[in-house]
Amino acid sequence: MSSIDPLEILSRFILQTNWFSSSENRVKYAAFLPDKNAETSVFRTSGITNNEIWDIGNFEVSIKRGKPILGRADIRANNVIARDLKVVSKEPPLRHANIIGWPDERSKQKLIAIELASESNLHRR
Amino acid sequence: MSTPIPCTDCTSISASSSIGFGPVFNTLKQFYDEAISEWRKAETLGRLSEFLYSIDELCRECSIDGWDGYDSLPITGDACEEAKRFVKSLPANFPMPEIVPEPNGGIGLEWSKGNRLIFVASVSGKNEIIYAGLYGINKSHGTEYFSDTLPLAIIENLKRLNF
Repeated sequence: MSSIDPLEILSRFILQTNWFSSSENRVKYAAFLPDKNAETSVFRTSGITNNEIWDIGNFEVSIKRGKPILGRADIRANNVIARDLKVVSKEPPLRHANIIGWPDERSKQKLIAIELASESNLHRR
Repeated sequence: MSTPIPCTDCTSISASSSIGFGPVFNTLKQFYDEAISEWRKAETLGRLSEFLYSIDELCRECSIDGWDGYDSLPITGDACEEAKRFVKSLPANFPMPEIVPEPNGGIGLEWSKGNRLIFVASVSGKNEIIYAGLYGINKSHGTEYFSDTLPLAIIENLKRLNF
């Protein structure tokens, strides 16, 4: 796929119950924290239907990881870029990308993750 | 003769000093205050033991690689013990946090009042607390050494949530 447009929607699939609040209908910061490789895995989901997005979650994440998708956090790429992070395409699988460029300081990572979570929209499965 | 008054909010009654006077009232009030205090202690201890159990549950659930469905590290026993120590050190006037497992193997303790009023403190068994807070347009973050008591910076950040 082409380079990331700032207005694109990025979807982060959630497979952990403690990473969202049903009662407050919000995503929690840990959903955006980087993994041990300093990356946060997302899918570029602009221009496809809701069902197609869930299909990506099922086939590319849930089945491969052996865990059900519980929801997803949708956020615009420009919210990520505004925090001095980068979104880079990393295919295959199709539409996959990583959020990279996280600061080394863990407290700063946490703050950015809190901000991203507060600007994202929770979609329950 | 006495008139029963329905107690729908015992806390406010216990805080009131204008519902009687005289030595008998003072004695009764002292008994009542002690009873309320014991009830509060029992309630706090009940909540605390329930919360400590939740931490154990989470640690069991997240003790293997990839527990988050991605590439997370397992949460260690040291992280669990430190999370419990944190919660036990928390002053009683703060509510219990929500427990959030983190992909790097840490345990986050989150207090929130909606989307833009959030404080998170996390531990990973290394005698340090990594924290970050969002208070509307204001932000803070940092790392504090965790010895016997909660660092002042943590308490001050929690106060910003106005519990």
